[in-house]
Amino acid sequence: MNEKYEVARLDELDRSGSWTRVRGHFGIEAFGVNAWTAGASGDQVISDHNEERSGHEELYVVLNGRAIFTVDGRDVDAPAGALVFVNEPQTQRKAIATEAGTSVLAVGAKPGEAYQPLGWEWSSDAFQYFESGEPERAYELLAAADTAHPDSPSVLYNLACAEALTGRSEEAVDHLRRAGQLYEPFAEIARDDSDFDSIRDHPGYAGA
Amino acid sequence: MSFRVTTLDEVPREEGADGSDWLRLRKQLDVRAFGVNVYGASAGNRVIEEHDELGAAAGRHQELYLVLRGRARFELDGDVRDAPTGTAVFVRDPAVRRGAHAEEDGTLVLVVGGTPGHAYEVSVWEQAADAYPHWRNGDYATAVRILRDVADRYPERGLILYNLACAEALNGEPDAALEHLARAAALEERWRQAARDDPDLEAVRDDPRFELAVAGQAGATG
Repeated sequence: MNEKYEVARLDELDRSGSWTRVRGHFGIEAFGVNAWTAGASGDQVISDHNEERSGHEELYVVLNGRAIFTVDGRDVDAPAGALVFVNEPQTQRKAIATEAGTSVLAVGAKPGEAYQPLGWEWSSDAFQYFESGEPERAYELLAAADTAHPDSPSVLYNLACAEALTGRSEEAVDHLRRAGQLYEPFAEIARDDSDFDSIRDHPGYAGA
Repeated sequence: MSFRVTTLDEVPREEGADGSDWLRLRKQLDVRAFGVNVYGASAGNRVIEEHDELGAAAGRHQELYLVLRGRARFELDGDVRDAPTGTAVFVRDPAVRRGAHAEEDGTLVLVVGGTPGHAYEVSVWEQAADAYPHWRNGDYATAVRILRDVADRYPERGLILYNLACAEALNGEPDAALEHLARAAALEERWRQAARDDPDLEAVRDDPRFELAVAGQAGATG
């Protein structure tokens, strides 16, 4: 790889499910950018979410195919070449593909602040190891992510999962507590998450 | 307004550098967190101006180019790369000379930019670009007003001062033109030679103070 520049076709980059890691592949540090592809018509191509925690503005570019965006409760038909810009982070948005193979590029960053990669990208890297039954490798990756990006709720939550699965009960309770403090829904989500079965009898768990 | 929707075919096109079509996406959508624009050209024409990100009006940006339609031929520090639709070109190093020609009619290239470790600010060149449609329409007074405003905020940018000098010369303001030409030439040597051949400066070229100005001497305007 040339350290000064790199050229690649988007459809040749590694894909994890519907997610093409554009930012991660190129090592972009100045803004967030990823692509999402729906396998079939009716598939969700942009998840139902808002950007309250990140504060990001987001620009979506429909690269090919067609999607129906639902933004702030309004449906918008978005064929290839459509540009949907959501400037208010609290606005709920999602997109459903209406053609197989629909791809959407998403670019995001927070106005007035230097860009920082979001915790979900780091957490997503670890999911492959949870799925392959290698929680130790997930732990190593998430512990490094926590050091690099402290106070990311999703990193802390998934780190707690990995710690619970690898017998690090004290750390798991501590990190789960911090995740719940930073993002309240995690406390509720943890109640149904089997990753924490091993620490439910831990004296600190109830407070987590 | 919490969101805006448009399409590549609806965004107004302005004349960009080297005759390309410039779809001013960042301005149209009022994006404030990163730079984003689209450039278009027909086969054989330049779609991305040859440039680096080190210039006085540039932002030392990392830049990601994505070919949205058609096909382009990128040159990256002299390295030629074919770039059909769907090709991404990421330029990490701001010193890389980069540019592209369209290989097919209707080629469109998306550009996203930002500086690692810094909050995004609208590039100085983009702020100054608001003047150029007025300039092309012969409304030099408005072009001068916009460029003066940018020059007041960025007094050390030679490109802005030079273009302001040109606009002032065209607007019949020789004193101001020579003052700003002198400041541009003092900051960056390239404006000394450019000034000798630039038809925009015709009105001041025979002025006895012109030689002092292209020498970058502050006394050019007495």
